[in-house]
Amino acid sequence: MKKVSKFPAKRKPEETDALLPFMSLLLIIIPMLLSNMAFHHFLAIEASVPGVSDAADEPMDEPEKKKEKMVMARLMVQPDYIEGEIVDEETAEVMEKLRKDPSVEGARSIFELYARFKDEFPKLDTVLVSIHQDVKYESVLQVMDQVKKPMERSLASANGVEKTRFNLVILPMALEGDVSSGGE
Amino acid sequence: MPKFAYKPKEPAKLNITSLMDALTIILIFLIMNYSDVVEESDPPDFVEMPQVVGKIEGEAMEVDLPIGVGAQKIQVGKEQVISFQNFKAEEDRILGQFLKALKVESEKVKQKRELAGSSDTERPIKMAIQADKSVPYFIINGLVSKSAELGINYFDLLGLNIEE
Repeated sequence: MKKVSKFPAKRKPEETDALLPFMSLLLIIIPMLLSNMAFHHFLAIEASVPGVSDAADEPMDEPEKKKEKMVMARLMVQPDYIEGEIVDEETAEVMEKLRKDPSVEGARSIFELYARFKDEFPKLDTVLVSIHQDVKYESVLQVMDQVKKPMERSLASANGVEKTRFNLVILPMALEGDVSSGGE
Repeated sequence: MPKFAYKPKEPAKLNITSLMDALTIILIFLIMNYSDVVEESDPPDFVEMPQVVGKIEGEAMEVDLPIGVGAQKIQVGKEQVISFQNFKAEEDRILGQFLKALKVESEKVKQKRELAGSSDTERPIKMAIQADKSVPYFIINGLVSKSAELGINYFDLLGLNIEE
């Protein structure tokens, strides 16, 4: 009869044993990654409509305090052209106007116009946008993407670079006449 | 010694090298397509979103209220669909239904935020517009103007991003 040892012989470790923790880790990671997998990567262009309460919430400036000159950036998106304007807020005088094709390059040129004025008027951070009713969503998105895209610009006053990014306020079509009246 | 003597069989070994190779490739693919935005939802079937070339910059996008806009359908949230033939002719009906659906969906978003106990309950609700590339702007304008009646003044215009 074969003698049974009190202490069984040690099992020789197999090559796969070392991989077991890694396999367990993969079993956890793969379902987690699968559940968070994105088939589409979206590009989001943040915009807003003018809020009714915005103006009322702002504190009134003291009359004796000298007011800083303020300018306003406007963008008109039409089916056959896009037009950017810089307007003096006080006098409503158009300081500069640029009309371009509704293309990526055109929108980029208009953004550069805004960025140039931002050097002079640092408080300029909003672009008022009015869009013609027949413009297709694809064109709207392409133009907005260029205007909204952050662009590095050199600062005249400080060393280094800053990323310029404008807020987009889209005017409802009912208000469109108010905006375009100065430029046309 | 007999010709066919019994030889003890060696235990079968599983070669997992190829399995590991496949898993590594899958892992890399999944990490590349990982999205930390849980709410990032696919656009509705009737929407062919425009493509924008460029690199996404900025922080992760949070989608509160997805609005799918097609040439003849509008989807509010994930369930409510409004169908129409001619937007301009049926504008009052469509926008009335849209407002109702938006009210329901925005309440759901508020409840969800409260349940989660998140600190962003004060953050304004934002619409994420996923419109078909051929949709004329007057449809989007109608929806955006109507949503302002509920105090929803912020929205994202979404496109499909293709990296350069």
